[in-house]
Amino acid sequence: MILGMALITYLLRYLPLAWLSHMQLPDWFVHWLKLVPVTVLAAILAPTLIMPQNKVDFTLSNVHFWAAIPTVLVAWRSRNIMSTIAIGMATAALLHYLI
Amino acid sequence: MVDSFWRGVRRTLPVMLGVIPFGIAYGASAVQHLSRFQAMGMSLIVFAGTAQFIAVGLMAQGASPIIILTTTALVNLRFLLMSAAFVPHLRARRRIVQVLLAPLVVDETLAVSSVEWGTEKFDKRFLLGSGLTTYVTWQLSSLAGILSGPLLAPGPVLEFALPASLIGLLVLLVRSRQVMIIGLLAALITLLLHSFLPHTWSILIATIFSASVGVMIQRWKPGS
Repeated sequence: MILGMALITYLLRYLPLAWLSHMQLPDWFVHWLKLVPVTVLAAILAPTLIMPQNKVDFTLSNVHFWAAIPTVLVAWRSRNIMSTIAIGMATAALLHYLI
Repeated sequence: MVDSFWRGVRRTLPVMLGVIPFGIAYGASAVQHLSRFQAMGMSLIVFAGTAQFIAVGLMAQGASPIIILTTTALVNLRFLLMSAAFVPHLRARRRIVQVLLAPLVVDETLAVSSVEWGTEKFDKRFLLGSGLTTYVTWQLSSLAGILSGPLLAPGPVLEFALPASLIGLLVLLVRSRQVMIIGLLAALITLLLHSFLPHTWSILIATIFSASVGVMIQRWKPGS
């Protein structure tokens, strides 16, 4: 399956180069594609943060949800992945060991 | 001639500061759900950070290969456009050049290269320098993450590396209030469908639906 991912990804990168890119993609499609990464990431994150065991869990034992809050703030202000991951995991550690 | 290559390297190095922790986080979290070979293999032959993270996230939720491949395709569709954007500047007429340069089309190389396009000094060697820098950095940091992963006790803290990285990426992608709303819509739909459908189908449906709604909203009311 990883081979499949590699093949798909390679083809996606290669085909435009091979076909010469002056394809006129319809505007709406280009627009739609630009929104895909945001929506996929949001869709992946939401259940893992809010419904870790298939049930909505806002209690403090759901460390990921509460650690996500400062993580989002740091990401927003710093726009820096390094700080985001560092602060996020530090907060998770803090919550995990204090609760 | 070799100048161009090294300029590509130099322009790309600062961006690597952001890639390194990302790679390490990928390696450390991937190794919780995959073997070391699989985790490293993904970095070696797929070489797409966001897709790799998302794939690991899906695998952790027990998604079927079809879902993972489809999601990979959807998430990486942007490579089609990025690659297309490179074409006028690369003038890569020979097949072998196209074949070899293709894997170097990544977010970071596109960002760095597009700055260079303005100076008219961009060429294939620049992309080669930029791409190899990114590739090597990604492999080394994935490896570092993979090797140190097992040393760190597994648990909610280490497992947060993946969501933290995804949050970091997501925030970087949200450039306007409208996009934020679209993202929230995707999250909401996923949550609503989550109890009824296998998680991974709810992700796909949420994505397709909210991206479509997003296009409609943004065309109806342009601007944030």
